[in-house]
Amino acid sequence: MKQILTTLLIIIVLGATLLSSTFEVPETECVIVLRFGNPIRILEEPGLAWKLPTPIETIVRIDTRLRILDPPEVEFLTIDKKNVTVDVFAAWSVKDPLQFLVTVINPTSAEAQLGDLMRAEVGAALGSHELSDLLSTEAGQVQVDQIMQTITDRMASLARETYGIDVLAIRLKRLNFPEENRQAVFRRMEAERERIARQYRSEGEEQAEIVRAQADLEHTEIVARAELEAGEIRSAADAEATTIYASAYSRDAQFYEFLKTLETYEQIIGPEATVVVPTDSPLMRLLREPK
Amino acid sequence: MSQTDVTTRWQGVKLSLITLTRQVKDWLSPARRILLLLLVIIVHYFITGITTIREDEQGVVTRFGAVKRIAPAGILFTQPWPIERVTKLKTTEVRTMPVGYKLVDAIRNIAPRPREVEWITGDKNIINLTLTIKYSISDAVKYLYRVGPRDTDFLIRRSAEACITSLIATMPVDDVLTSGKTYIQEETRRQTQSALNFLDAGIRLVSVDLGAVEPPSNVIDAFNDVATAKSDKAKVINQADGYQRDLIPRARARADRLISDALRYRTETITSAQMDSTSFCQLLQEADKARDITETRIYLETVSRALKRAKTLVIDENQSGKIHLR
Repeated sequence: MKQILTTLLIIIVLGATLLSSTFEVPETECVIVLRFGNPIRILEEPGLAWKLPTPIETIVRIDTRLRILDPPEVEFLTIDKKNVTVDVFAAWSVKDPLQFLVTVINPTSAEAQLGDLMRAEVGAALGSHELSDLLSTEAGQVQVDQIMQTITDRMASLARETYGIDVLAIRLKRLNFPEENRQAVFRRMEAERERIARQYRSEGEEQAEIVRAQADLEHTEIVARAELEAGEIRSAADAEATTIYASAYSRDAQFYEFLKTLETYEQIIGPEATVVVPTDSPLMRLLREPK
Repeated sequence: MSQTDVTTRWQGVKLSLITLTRQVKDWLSPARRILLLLLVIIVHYFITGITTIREDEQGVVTRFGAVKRIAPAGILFTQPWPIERVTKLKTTEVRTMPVGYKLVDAIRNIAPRPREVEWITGDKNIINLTLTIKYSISDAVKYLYRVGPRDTDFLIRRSAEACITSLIATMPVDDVLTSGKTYIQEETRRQTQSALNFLDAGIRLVSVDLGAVEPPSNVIDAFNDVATAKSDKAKVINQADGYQRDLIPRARARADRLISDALRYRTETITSAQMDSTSFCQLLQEADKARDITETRIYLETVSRALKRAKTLVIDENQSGKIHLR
């Protein structure tokens, strides 16, 4: 009985010693081995590792995965005194585990300190730019990416030196106007739309008027040209007729005059006319003195 | 329960334990011990050393935490726990990530909050825009170990939001609302993908679909009025065009009419001139045969025709009486 208990005890002690002197380094972490609280080794390669059993050597695991820091949006003032709310996020990971362990202890406090640092950097960067560097329709005017790159670079070197943290990217997630400016922005938007709508309508009238005036002009031109041409045709016809008449009548002008005079009589003596014929006229000669 | 009761009970338990140990010891001959150990090892191996990877999965095998290999679908044999472990991951699955709204809200039909859905255009207009990203895992190891699975969704959404923010900051609101949609989709996909690649996230974006893009609800009337004004413009111009299309053919018809009338006049005039001159010539020819007689005949014929129509008074100048003819 006693023998069994002793064997069991030995097995348990051996097992505990074995377990406390082996550990895994997973892909997502790196491990710092501390001897009596002093760091002596850093293990970054994943796999199985050995150390002296627990009271002598202990380990601290540090997550080296990429983390996203997403602090709430903050209101800033640009250099031309425009209020904007800015929402940035940072992607970071632990670069120097030992320094990280010494300076910030855990990711939560790391994020708190990074957040403070980032707010200061973003405020400083935006405070030296105009709103049109952030928002503009002109090509090449907007410098959001450059500004964020500058902030990233500054943050990266600061965080690496101070906290052993690698800041990979800081990016502008949202840009907006502060709550109290929104009504003014909406009013401006509305006024702008009204202006555009009016412009469209008067442009329509303008172009329609141009088209109508052009149509009227074309109409007049077509008719006038035709009138001119018709006039030419008519006068040419008259001239030709005159020539025809002249060439015929000139053969005997006297006879023409005789005929034309008679024709004229016939025309001027209508049903309403009263003709007074004296009896001594050649026409009535026979009436008075028959042969 | 008294002290003696406990003691007697404990002695009973002790006794039965001793008998049990003795019985087990008797049964466990050395050969049986080895067999039992083998059996335990085999069962352990079957339980922790054989895994099935389904068709839509990949298995990532780690040995003491380090990645050893990636196994395709099928039966996977590994070394038993605690040496090797398998993490199964659905790599063919396409996941959905909303931007500018929450899936939960969309299902419950709740409108997204202004701060979620609003973006600022280059001409400083506020605009509502939502996006749906579909993505899948392109690199299982990176996906599992580079970024924590909880942060990956976060990272995709944040990166896409950053892309849209910087994209829209250069565009006028009219482009965002109309022609720029495809551009936004394409650029967001491209830039978000390169941002994710830069961070080694192991993610492949399958598609980026722009949802509703519209002005905020309290200014939407003004935006709609611009659309109406645009169509008003087109309408007015169309009407003028109609006026032109109506007027010009009429002008041409009128011109045609004028020319035809003139031509008709020419024909008539010349024809009648020719007719007149022909008849004059014929008359002259005839008259030349007996000039006096013809002239008299023509004179009398004409006078009789004329006087037949008119009232004719014949007056004898020498006498006072009047003679009425007819």
